[in-house]
Amino acid sequence: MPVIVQISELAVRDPEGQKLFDDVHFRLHRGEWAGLIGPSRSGKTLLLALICGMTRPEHGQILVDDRNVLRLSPEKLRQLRRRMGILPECASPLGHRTLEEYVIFKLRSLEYPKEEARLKALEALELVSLEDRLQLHPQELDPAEYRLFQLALAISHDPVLLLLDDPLRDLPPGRGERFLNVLERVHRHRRVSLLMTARGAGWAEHLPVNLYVLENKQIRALHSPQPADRKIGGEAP
Amino acid sequence: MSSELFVSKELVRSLNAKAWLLSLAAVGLVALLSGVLALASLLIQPRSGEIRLIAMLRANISEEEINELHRRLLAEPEVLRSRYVLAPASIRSSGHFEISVKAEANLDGVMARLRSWGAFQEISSPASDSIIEELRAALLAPKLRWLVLAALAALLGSTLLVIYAALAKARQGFVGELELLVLSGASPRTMQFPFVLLGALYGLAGALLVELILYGAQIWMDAALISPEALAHLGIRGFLLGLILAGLGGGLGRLVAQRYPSPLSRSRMSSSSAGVGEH
Repeated sequence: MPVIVQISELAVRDPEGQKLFDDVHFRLHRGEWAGLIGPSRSGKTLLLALICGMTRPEHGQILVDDRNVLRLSPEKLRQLRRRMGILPECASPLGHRTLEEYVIFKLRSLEYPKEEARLKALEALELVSLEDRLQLHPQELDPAEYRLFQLALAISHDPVLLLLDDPLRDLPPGRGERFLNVLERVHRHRRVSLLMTARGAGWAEHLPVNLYVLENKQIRALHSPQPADRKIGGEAP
Repeated sequence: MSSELFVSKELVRSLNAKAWLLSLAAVGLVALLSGVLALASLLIQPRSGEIRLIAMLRANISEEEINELHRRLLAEPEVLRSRYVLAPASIRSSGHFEISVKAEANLDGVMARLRSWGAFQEISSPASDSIIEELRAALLAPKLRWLVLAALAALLGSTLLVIYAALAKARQGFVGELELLVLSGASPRTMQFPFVLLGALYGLAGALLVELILYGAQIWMDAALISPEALAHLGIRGFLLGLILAGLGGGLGRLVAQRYPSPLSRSRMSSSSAGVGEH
């Protein structure tokens, strides 16, 4: 199965010289949904930042969609980033516009024509079940709906790779389930590759997710996917 | 360019009350600074080689007499130019002559000679011209020169500071949108252009404001016959100086939008790895 993200021999140190990653290898296949779990401050967010080229390692190779992230010019890197959808853990709050206007804002900033931006915004918000919230402002949403709105923003430009940074964090008990159901639908409909970080593994129990754990500065596969989901599965080297 | 203009429009839309207040202050300060600099630039340039006189004609003077007076004025060796100005119909007056006399001429002697012709009821040098001369002398006096320069520098500094503060406030209210653009792979131009444009607009609006105020003042002074010769084209100078400040405002806009926020590099984990270079 073709690979969309391939990380080899990755090594990163902090400013004090402490190793954060040491000889990390990881592969994400096209269409795969991978869950990367690890405790707080284990480097989950850093790994996402490395994949989308916002941070550079001191050693190693990162291939995304067959392109070496570390050798791309800033312009090519931006073009590659347009093929990704990113849902950050802690983004600055949005508030001036309605949900529909925000998604249109993003698409028009990426030079989509006005009418196409509007149609794609409606499509994205409908896919995440926010079609009845179009005219609300983000601050009027509950935390679970806000996460869905962020997901709509991330998928609105049809990315091939979705990076989600601990999207279940701070969600009230039971509300994470709604988000995961929507995410499963997005995964199924768009056939997008998904890399999602989380602290625990419980959420993945009934989902077609391959789990990886980030510990001792390395990534290892936690368990293989359920037999029914093997067709979209992947494995750590 | 369409996406840059679209983001610019959205930036203006997101300005809150404080940002608007700072923006208005920036425009006002640009207008004030442009006006002051324009006046100073006119005052420090070398004095023109002529002095202006206003000669009010006595009542009931005929057209032939006016033509004869004009010829006699131009024949005087100290007189450079002479222009007859007709009085408005509402005023019962025969009008006046605006006479330019060589700067080195004996002004009292010239005025006495013209009075002796008996055609003028009053001959004077406009009061405003003497105020301008006093201002010029004060500005160029060695004791005041440094004080004036310091005041101008302080005004320039305050103007740039307020423009920067207005731009920073605008950026603060737009930070969520900027993060969204960074994550979507928007180009730096798309993110910087709106701030460059906003900074330049402060300068442009200030330039237009000073031009408007000084043009209005010039019209009023012309109507009141106190228009000082030295202040001709003050509005244009103010406008041009405002345009220079628009360029500076644009530069400040680029400075404000130079560093993009990134929610991924701001997170707890990567803040502990701050030494890892951002791309």
